[in-house]
Amino acid sequence: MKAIVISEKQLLAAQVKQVLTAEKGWAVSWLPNVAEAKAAIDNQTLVILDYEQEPVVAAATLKRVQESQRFNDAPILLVGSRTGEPGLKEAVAGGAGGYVLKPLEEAALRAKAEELVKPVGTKTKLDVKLINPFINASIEVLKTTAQMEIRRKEIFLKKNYRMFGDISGVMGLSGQASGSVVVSMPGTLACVLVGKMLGEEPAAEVNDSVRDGIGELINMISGHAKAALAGSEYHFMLSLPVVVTGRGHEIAHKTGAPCIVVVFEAGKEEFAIQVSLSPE
Amino acid sequence: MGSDALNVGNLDSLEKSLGAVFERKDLRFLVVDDSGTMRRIIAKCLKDIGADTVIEAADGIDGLVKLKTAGKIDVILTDWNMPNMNGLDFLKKLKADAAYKDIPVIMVTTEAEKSSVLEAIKAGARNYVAKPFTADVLKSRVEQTLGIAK
Repeated sequence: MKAIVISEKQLLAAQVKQVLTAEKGWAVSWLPNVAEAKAAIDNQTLVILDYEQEPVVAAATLKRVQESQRFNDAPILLVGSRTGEPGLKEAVAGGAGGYVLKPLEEAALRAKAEELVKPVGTKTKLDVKLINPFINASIEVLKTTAQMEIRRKEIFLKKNYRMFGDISGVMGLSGQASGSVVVSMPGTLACVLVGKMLGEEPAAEVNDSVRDGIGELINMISGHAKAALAGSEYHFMLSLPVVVTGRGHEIAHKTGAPCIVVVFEAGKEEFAIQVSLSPE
Repeated sequence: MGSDALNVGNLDSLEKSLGAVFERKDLRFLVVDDSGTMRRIIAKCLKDIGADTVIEAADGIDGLVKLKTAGKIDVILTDWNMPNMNGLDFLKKLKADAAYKDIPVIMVTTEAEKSSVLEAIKAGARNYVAKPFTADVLKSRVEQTLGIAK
């Protein structure tokens, strides 16, 4: 597992390295400048961010790190002071994975790091029989409704509940199998996609029409996959779609099933579907 | 000269009679779907095949309200999964009402399983379109339904 410490203070990086590398399997690197985060945090398992700064600067730094992340998100662990705890809590509400306080306590840091990198859900089975219908549904729905050719890029088990995108369409699933399926994407892609569905110019920003279109998109993806899973242990019933907006928003999958993420390329942009479904 | 004039008259008459078959005037539709995006997509397809009026409703209850003031409706297209009143219950209400039971209904829905299709047909749906659909598929099902309805 790889962790990167983003802090101007090399001492903090050294302390984290000492604690985590005492445990088998961690490699820790240091990044003094958040401006270089985009390339540096790719393929990291955990991002550790020094949050002991002026509140406005700290929030802006977190935002910058979040914007540098793709769907293959590493959870962000904040390190701050006790006096800055209200700001830390606010940051966690805004999408950071959690925080530990200075002075660093070995046990607390190690426990929090391990908690954050553990995949969500109590089971860890990645069943292709379950995920393939959703992959095929996504490809078919975008091709038919928006004339968009998409390409599957990667599949992984999700480590936390945050969505990396500006807008998500969520469908609750119940019945013989229960859980949820989510489509999550940047606002720019959502505008283009809904514009293509309607045969119109894309909206300048996410508006009611775009939100409605993304709701219908997850409805169609879920319905298409539902038909393919009929007769299997994963057969489910659809609910009504819900659309959530805001960067770093959080959606919990409550069934305890693992959350499988599939990232697709759509032109120059990416979007992800997240499937968390388990037989009753 | 006289013979030419007669031929032109015959062509006009033939064109008019063909027009009556292929270009039905004043086609009026009711589209019931909780997604405004989907209602707009369907309405565009219907305009392409000559719809004169497309009335939109957001769920089954809204559909029943709109029908009261809609006047003549040639075809109703309805989604299945909707809040307040779903498409299947809406369909059953229509079929139980003497004023609406003869209006052909097309289900346009993500519920594409065979059992769902059979359930809708059993409840009185005239045709079925699974989402996602292409414009050509929707248009052909509507035209097919209008043909049956004549």
